[in-house]
Amino acid sequence: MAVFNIQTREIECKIVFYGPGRGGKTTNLEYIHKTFRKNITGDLVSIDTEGDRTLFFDFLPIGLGKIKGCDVKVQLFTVPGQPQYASTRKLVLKGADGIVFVADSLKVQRKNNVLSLKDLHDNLKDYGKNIFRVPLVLQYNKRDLIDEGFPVLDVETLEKDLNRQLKVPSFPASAIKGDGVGSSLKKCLELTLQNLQKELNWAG
Amino acid sequence: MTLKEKIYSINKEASLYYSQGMYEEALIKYKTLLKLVSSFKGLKNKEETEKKIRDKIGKINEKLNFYEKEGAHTDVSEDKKEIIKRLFSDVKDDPEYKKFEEALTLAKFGQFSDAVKEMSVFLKNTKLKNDAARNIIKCYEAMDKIEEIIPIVNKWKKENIFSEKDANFFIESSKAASLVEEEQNLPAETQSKEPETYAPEIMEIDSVGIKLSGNDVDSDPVELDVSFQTGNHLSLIISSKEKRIIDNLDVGVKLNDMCFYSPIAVFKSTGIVLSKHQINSGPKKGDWCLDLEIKNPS
Repeated sequence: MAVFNIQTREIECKIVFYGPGRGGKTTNLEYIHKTFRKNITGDLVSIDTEGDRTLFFDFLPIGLGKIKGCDVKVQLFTVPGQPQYASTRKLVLKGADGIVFVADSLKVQRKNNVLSLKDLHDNLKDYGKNIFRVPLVLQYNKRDLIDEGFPVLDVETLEKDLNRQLKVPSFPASAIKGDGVGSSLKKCLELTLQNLQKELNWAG
Repeated sequence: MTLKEKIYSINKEASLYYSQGMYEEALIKYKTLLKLVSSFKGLKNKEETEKKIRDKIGKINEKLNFYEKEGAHTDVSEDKKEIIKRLFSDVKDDPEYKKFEEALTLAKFGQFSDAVKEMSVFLKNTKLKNDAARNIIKCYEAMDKIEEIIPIVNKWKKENIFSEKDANFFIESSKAASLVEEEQNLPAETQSKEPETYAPEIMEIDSVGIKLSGNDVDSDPVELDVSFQTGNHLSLIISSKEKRIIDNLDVGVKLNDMCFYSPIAVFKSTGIVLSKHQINSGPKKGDWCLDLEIKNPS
């Protein structure tokens, strides 16, 4: 949940990268950390990655500078995607102001994408939030694998599977190359800040 | 596609899944690959190739076993524990309750030994000692160290932290209760009846439905969200506005008609109210915290 300090005119909000395990959530944060250096206000912390998968979460604080007279700070988190880390995932999602759902374009991940989106829906519901009202963008990651001849779902199928009802902004991406990472985050921040502006009325 | 081309394509896919940490998917592909290679007559270095694939399958199985058994219980470094506490503890204004909340946060992230250490400090705090004791016991249960619960509670009794009545209550409402029964040489059927029926130990409960006494038989049960769970022990937060619910759920009350909602199933069971206390500080100040134990799911 965003914190608005009226005295210092500071807003701190939380964006969570959600999605199936091994879908590229950590790679998104690594790319943001590497590329948007002037906005980075702290280290990228991974707690605790055993070799190659996130067991707890990743965390990256960024600053957006002054927006409508307020200093906007953002905490970026990733959740562990594997089904067995359900309780940690729910803990990390708590208080999220905006969500980037990182779907995996690989055909073998089709079912996991859907299950993960359902898991997001259920966890948000438990926190009294409606997935249709939460600032949310979808990112279809690993598009680069098409060029290498791997079995990848087309965007139309991903849209049909994941975005038929939600109708939220969606972005093809390759987190490893950085394609689509900035645009997904930018759109999510835009939606989140619009929502917070309505809720906190900070620019009013 | 020739058999050779098929082998090449599957190997490429299996390598990709392995490199991306998608071990379940990689395992399926490597097993298919092994079958294809074995059926390929006249393949150069066939035995060597088969050995390489088997080695890869063995490595994947090791990794999968690790994640299944150890992964979720990894101890994190001290500096990272501090980050977890800073990022996930809500209470900021009351320094004493903040420390307690931080210890609870560690437990939620599976850092049970440290949580026990930090919660033990609160055993001398009149306001928080009951919560500290209950959570310490929950941590031991989560660590599967049930046999350590009785000596610890006895130590608390000896140090006059808790009365004999309180200490007995802690043991009776914990998983260590079955050990006491064994010690007392109760008949076999009595000793073994409880633990086997604790299905909730493996199930995450999102919310519970409780029929309050005095409710009409046909009226809907009250639905409450679970804020924390260890095994068959659940903690619920009840808004101070829900006076009717709070008044109905006193310590020791048996709840005979309960519904438990988990992400994968809904089951009916009975429960008992272990404790009830009002939160004195933090964002939930004034609300009530209720601890329940699930009994005999059906």
